[in-house]
Parts: sequence; C-alpha cells; structure tokens
Amino acid sequence: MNPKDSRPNLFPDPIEDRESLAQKLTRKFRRLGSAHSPSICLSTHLNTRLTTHLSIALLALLLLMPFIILIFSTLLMPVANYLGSEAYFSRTFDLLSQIVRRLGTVGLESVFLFTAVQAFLSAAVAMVLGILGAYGLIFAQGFLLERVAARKANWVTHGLEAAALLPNFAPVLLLILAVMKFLPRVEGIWGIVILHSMLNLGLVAVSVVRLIQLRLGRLTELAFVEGAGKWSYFRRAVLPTLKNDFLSLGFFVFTICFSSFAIPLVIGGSRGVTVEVLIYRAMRVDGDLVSALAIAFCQMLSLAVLALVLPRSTAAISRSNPNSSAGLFFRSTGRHLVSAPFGLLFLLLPPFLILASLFDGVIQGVQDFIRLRPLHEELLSQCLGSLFVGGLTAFLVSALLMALAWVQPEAGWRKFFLGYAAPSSVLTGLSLLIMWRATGFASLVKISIALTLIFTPAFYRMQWDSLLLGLADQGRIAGTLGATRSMIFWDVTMPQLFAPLGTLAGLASLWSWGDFALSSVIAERQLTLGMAAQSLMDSYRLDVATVYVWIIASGGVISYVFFKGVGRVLGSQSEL
Amino acid sequence: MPDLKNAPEKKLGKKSGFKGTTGVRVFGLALAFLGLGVFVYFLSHAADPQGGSWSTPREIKVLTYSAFSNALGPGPEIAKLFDQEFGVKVIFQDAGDAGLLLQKLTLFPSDVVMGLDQFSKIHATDRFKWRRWGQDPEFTAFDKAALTFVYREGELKPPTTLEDLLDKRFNETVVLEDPGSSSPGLQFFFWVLDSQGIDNGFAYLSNLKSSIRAISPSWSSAYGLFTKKQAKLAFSYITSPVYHWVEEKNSNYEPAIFTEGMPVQVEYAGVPQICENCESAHQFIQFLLRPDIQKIIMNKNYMLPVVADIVKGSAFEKLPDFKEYEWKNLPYLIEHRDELLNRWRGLNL
Repeated sequence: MNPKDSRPNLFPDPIEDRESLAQKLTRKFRRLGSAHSPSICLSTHLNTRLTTHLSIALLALLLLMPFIILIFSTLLMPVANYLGSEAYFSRTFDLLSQIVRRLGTVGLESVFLFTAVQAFLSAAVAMVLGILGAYGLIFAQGFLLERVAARKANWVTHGLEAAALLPNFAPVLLLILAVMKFLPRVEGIWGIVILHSMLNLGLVAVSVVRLIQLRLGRLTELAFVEGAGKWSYFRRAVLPTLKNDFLSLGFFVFTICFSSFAIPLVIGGSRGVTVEVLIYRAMRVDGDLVSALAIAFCQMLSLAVLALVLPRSTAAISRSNPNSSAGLFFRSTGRHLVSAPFGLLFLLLPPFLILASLFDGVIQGVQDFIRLRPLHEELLSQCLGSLFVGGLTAFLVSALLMALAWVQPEAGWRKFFLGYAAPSSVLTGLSLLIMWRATGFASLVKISIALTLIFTPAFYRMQWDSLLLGLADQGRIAGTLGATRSMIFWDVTMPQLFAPLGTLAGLASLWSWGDFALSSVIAERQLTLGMAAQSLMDSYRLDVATVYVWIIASGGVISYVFFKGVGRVLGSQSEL
Repeated sequence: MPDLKNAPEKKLGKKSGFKGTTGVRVFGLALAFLGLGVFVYFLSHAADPQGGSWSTPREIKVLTYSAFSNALGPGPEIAKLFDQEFGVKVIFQDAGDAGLLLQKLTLFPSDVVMGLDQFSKIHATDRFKWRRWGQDPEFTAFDKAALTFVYREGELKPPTTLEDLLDKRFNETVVLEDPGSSSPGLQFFFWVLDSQGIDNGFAYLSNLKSSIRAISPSWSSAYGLFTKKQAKLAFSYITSPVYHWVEEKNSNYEPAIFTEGMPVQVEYAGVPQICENCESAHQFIQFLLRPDIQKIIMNKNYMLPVVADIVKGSAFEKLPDFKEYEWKNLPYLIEHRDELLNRWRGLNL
C-alpha cells in the first residue's frame, strides 16, 4: 500500500523518495556540465551573493513596510501639519511631548497588563485543553486501528485532525458567530479567553500528538510494560521530556493571542480592551492618530521582544516529521498511557459549535434575507469584493513565497524571517491608510496587500521555512554540478513547492474571504461579505448573518480547492 | 518517468528552464490578465484632470452612519432618486455610529456629512471648516427624535424617572451605548450629568452598574442585544417601537415616558470645506428637505421629520406625548467632553 494514497494531508510532504530524486538531478546536471573557469566562478559567485543579499533585504523591507510607514509618518506628521494638510492632521503639536503626554493619559500600562493577562490565560487554557485533546486524538487513532482497516482508520483520524484544526483554518467569523449564538453572555476577559482557547486548542492538540510520537514512542511502550499509570507517566515522563516543547508551544499561542484583534474587538466589550483594540479606538473612535501611532510604537517594541524568543520555539516544531513512525506508535499498547477518550470532547467542541451555528437559524435567515430586498442589491458587489480580495491575496502571497524560495534566506536572514512577527491588523491597516488615501476599488487592493503582509510571515514560519530547508541540499548539489540559480529554482525547487504553495495560497484566499477586522480599518464602507456579515452580527441579525457566513464559507472553500488544485497541477506538470 | 539517460544534451548557457506546460500557460495568462486589468483600472483613474481628487464631477461622497446608509436604511432609495433627478451619483461612506463621523472624516474626505447632532455639531465646527450658502446655516436639520428607554410590555414595569433605573427590578436588564463611540450613548451620559450635576451624576452612574447588562459600542449593537432578548431595556429613540409595530406587526414594544423630560436629538447634515463637488453636495442637502424624501427618511430611518405634516396618517401619530428635557449646562458639558469621557472610562461600567 502506498502511504501517500491513504493520507489526505493538508500539507503533503513533497520531499519524497529523496535518494532517487538526488540521483535524477545528478544525472541531469552532470550532462549539462560545468565548464566555467575558476575566476569566472568566483566573480559569478560574488555577484550572486550580492544580488541575493539585496533581494532578501528588499523582501524584508517589504514585510516591514507597515512599521516603516508608521515610523516615517510619525516623524513627518509635524511637517505635514506645517504644510497645512488640514484634512488629515488638524492640530499642531510638538511630537515628542505630545506622544509622552498621550501615553500617560491612555492608561497604557493597564491595557498592556490586560492584554498580557488574557494572552497568558488563553495560552494556559489552550495548552491544558489541547493536551487533553491530544490524548483524545491518540485514543481515537488507536481505537480505530484496532477495529478497522488501517486505510479507513487513517482517513477517519485525519478527518478528526482536520475537524480539530477547523477553528484555526476557518475564518474567525464562524467561531464568533457560534459563540454569539450559543454563548451569548460571554464577553470581557473570559469571553476573549474562551474564544482564544477554542481557536487554538486544536492546533495545540495536533502538535502535542506529533511531539509524543516523536519523543516518547519507545518510552511509552517501556513505561506501559513496567506498569506505570497515566498520571504518574504524565508527571514523570511526558512533562519533563516535553517541558521545553510545551513552553515553546504555549509561547507561540501567547503571541497569537497577544496580537489578536478580531476577537477582542467583537467579544471584549467595554471591559475587554486590548492593545490592538486601544489602537483601533484611538484611531477610529477618538480620531487621535498621534495616540494611535504612539500606542502602535509600544506594541511594535513588545512584538519585537516576543519575536526574539519566537524562532527557537516554532522552528523546532515545524521541523518535526512524525509520519514515519505514526503507524507503529498507534498500534503499540503503550499508547494507553497517553490516551483519554474524554479528551475528544474538548477537541471536538469548537468545530461542533461552528458547524451547529451554520445550521442553526439558517432557514429563518434565508426567509429574512428574501424578505429584505435591499440586501440583495449589495450582495453581488460584496461577493465580487470578497472574490477579488481572496484572489489577489492568494496571488500576492504566492508571489512573496516564491520570492522567498528564490532568495533562500540563510543564517541571519533566515532567523529574521522566522522571528519576524507580522504587525497587527490595526497597525497594518493604519499604515496603508496613511500611505494611500484612495477609496473604492483601491480599498480592496489595500485590504489584499495588508492581508498578504500579515499572512506571509505566518506561512513562512508555519511551513515554508521547513520546506526550503529540506530542499537546500538539493539546490547545493545542483549548484556544484553547474546549474544556474534559475535552473535550481525552476527545475529543483518549484516543482516540489508548487503543491504546498497552492495549499498556502488557498488558505490565504479562504481567510481573506472571512476577514472583517482588517477590512473595517481600511474600507470606507461594506465592500466585502465579511464586513457585511460582521455588521449584521453587530446588530444581532444572527440568522441573516448565518446566510452570509454560508456564502463566505462556500466561496472560501471553493477558492481553497481551486488554488490547491492549481498548485497540484503545476507541480505534477512541471518537468525535471 | 522521463528517460534522462537518453535525453538530448542541452547547450551550456541556455536555460533548460521550466517549460510552458498548459497549466503554467494558463496560470501565466491569468496573472498577466489580472495585472493588465489592475494597470488599466489605475490608468483610467489616475489620469484625472482634477489632479488626484477623490470624487468625479458626477458623484458626491456622503459620510453618514451605517443605519442610514446600509441596504435596510433610507440611503439607497434617496441616492437612487437623487441620481435620477440630478444625474449625480451618491456614494455613501459608512462611519459606523454617528458618534464616529468626525473621526471618519479625518480619514475619508467627503462632500456631505450626515448625522451630526447638537453636540457633535459644535465639535465639527472646532475641527473642520464648513461651507455656507448665503444666509443659510452651516448645518441643516433633516430629522429628529426624543431618546428614552424602549421595553417590551409584560416583561417589566417601565421606569418613569432616572432614579427608577436604580431599582432592583432592573438588575442586569439595561443595555446602554458607549458615549465615546455612540451619539445616543453621549446623549444619555450628558442627560444624567446635566440633570444630576457632575459629581452626583457620576455617583448615579456608579450605582447604575448593577442594572447594566451591557455597554455596547454602537446603537445598532445595543438595540440588537435588546431585540434578541438579552436585555429588557435599551436606550434608544422614542420612534424605535414603530419599526416593530409596522414591520413585525408586534405591538409589544413601547417607549418609556420620563416625567422629568427626555432629551431630543436632532440630526444635521453639512458640507465640509474640503468638498470636491460642493454645489451638488448643497443640492443634496436641500433634496433631503423635500416632503417625499422626508417621508422616506421617516419610514425607513424611523425618525421624525423636520417638515410639518409628514407624520399625519402614519403609525408615528400613535406615539405618546412627552416632555422635552431642557438643558441647563450644555455648553459646559460640550466644552469638557473629553475629560468627562475619561472619567466615564474610569468607572469601568
């Protein structure tokens, strides 16, 4: 049986059959020959290195664009004011004293404390429930392997993993709608913590399963034979062995929750103001751009501090490849020490709520939608808006990831890209608003650019870096055999990256369909379905909002499948 | 599997490259088409004889609150009629709540601003310059309504004074709006401070905490919470129950009548100095005062018209009579708005 056929993997491992691939490449590039003289080789090498560094620097600058715009706009604001751009900056000020004074009045320290506390609680709850969920997953996998054929068992377990990851991959709008429908009194800090936990516990569970397989496979078997109990095994083996990984994973979730915007904006209420919401309020509610920029600076600094810790955390997890020993581990008797059926309850509750909310009130929603004729006229333009944003975001993300594959960042540059945490939605939206004032169609383009700047660093950390790392050796071999950079890129790298690139582009498109938080910062009116759905949810027309969410989910899934398919086709069509 | 051993040799320096398979050609064509489309669009919009203006001569940008401009409000119908009569397209820009109009104007310049009330009108003149035509005022009223608490009959006995709201029967039943982001919210906030005095007013608001179910950022959010029965009282307009009487045929919704008087919010429209199509903007504001347009505003915005005799024969005639609240210290409240709002935030309601 070909394992590949039985694994509907979201991120198919393109690096298969490495030895034979290396042999093929060797044969090809040897035929091409390498007849350059040493001096030509050296000058070509130096030119290539310079070009590479310049290219990487340009890419880095592109990703840092929101920060650069914010810094320059803050420095240039007095100048703009002096020149009389009254429509945008209506007051004169001394920059430094104003910023310091504003920082003193906005209660920044309490907001930062609140943001850190909610992020810590969210990470802690997600980790605890995620570990329980991992135990539930291991139980399910073992249970199925004992009773059904391995192929069916794999399908079901991968389905369970996909369900667990649904809150992460589906637009956050779906989770918010689910909570508003079934947990309406949830708000404030506990509302934010509950939503963040539901969002991340699936990711934690799947990561913990991988870690247990990789690190504890044999030890689990041994402990079971020796008669260890579940709790003592957890306390004496799982926790000590995986302590650093748990900390890293928890920290990763912490950084996601720290810079979260959509959930605190909708669920936080007046008592749940995070730094992101404070920036948004300063900008949109108080009309105080100076305060918004000042708070944004403080957040940039805190994100930079977090980013220093981040590379060590996610790189370790992203490099893990659990599939090689999966079957052995789940068939072993030792797995009983790390399995718990009730863990499945926690794992499947968030996706269940999401799916239930999609069906709850949908008929009433359709009836209300049909009755409210004015909504019909705007629906088409909003659909086209979402389609455009989804498509353009997927295209731009693909272009940036391909550019990163071309330059292949190494050493310091790689650390930068791994550690770079994308600016928050509010910061990115604010920077694009300052840079480009046009509205209408331009707003859709700005939304796409902003989403690209947010998604690309996350995708790089999530998958792209480990893929490039895996292909680096092949590129070096091809280079020593005389292949040019272009040949390496088109003949070695991209044929193996088209498929995952399509998947990531599809994800970008799916998330773009459901975006409303960033869009509401940039757009002057409801240009997309996400914004329209959020507006309906805001006025508690939840049934009609459900109809819009269905359209968003359908459009997003179709986009995802389309780009994933394009990636697969391009990957299979390319020739070596 | 390609036969690499017997494959023809390739010359050095010539790129073997990535051949243009069908998929790649389609992908490349799609990219090229998209790029061309974007380029053509920007060409057509960049070549603007007005040198980078944000609206064309045959359109005006109207900044207003979402309840007016969204598909369910009066905006789209009014825009259509204006376009038919004057050949000028109206593009609505959504500020969210009326309390955010001036902030939004900073980011999105507009020809007309609609939805300013008596408080924000004063801030508007401080922050921006506004156009005048002859002896006409800078701002023109286009609708109005008193503000009160709306409730459902049978759920509770309605309050008749502000002090009533402190009663235990209203525990966790009231939804208010944030005065920082919502104009009805600011109306309530100033009403309390004006009627009770500043310090007593803040003491009252602290005591009101037990009655508050939620503070929402906007009127639509607060009223939505109320209609979903997550709250039993919502601070809204005296005209809000008319929506339920007419659209839902539900007569359970009633406005509470306060014996001490209720504040009346008047909504205004103005043309900022930064307007591009100022004449069309002025024409639009005059258009809003026509009796047929006032009727549309009344029936879709659920606010009372400023023109006489429009209400006759409508469901709005059934609204109870009320006493209008007389402001005592309004100039002081408006002048110290920011510090009062900071003090409100300190209450942590």
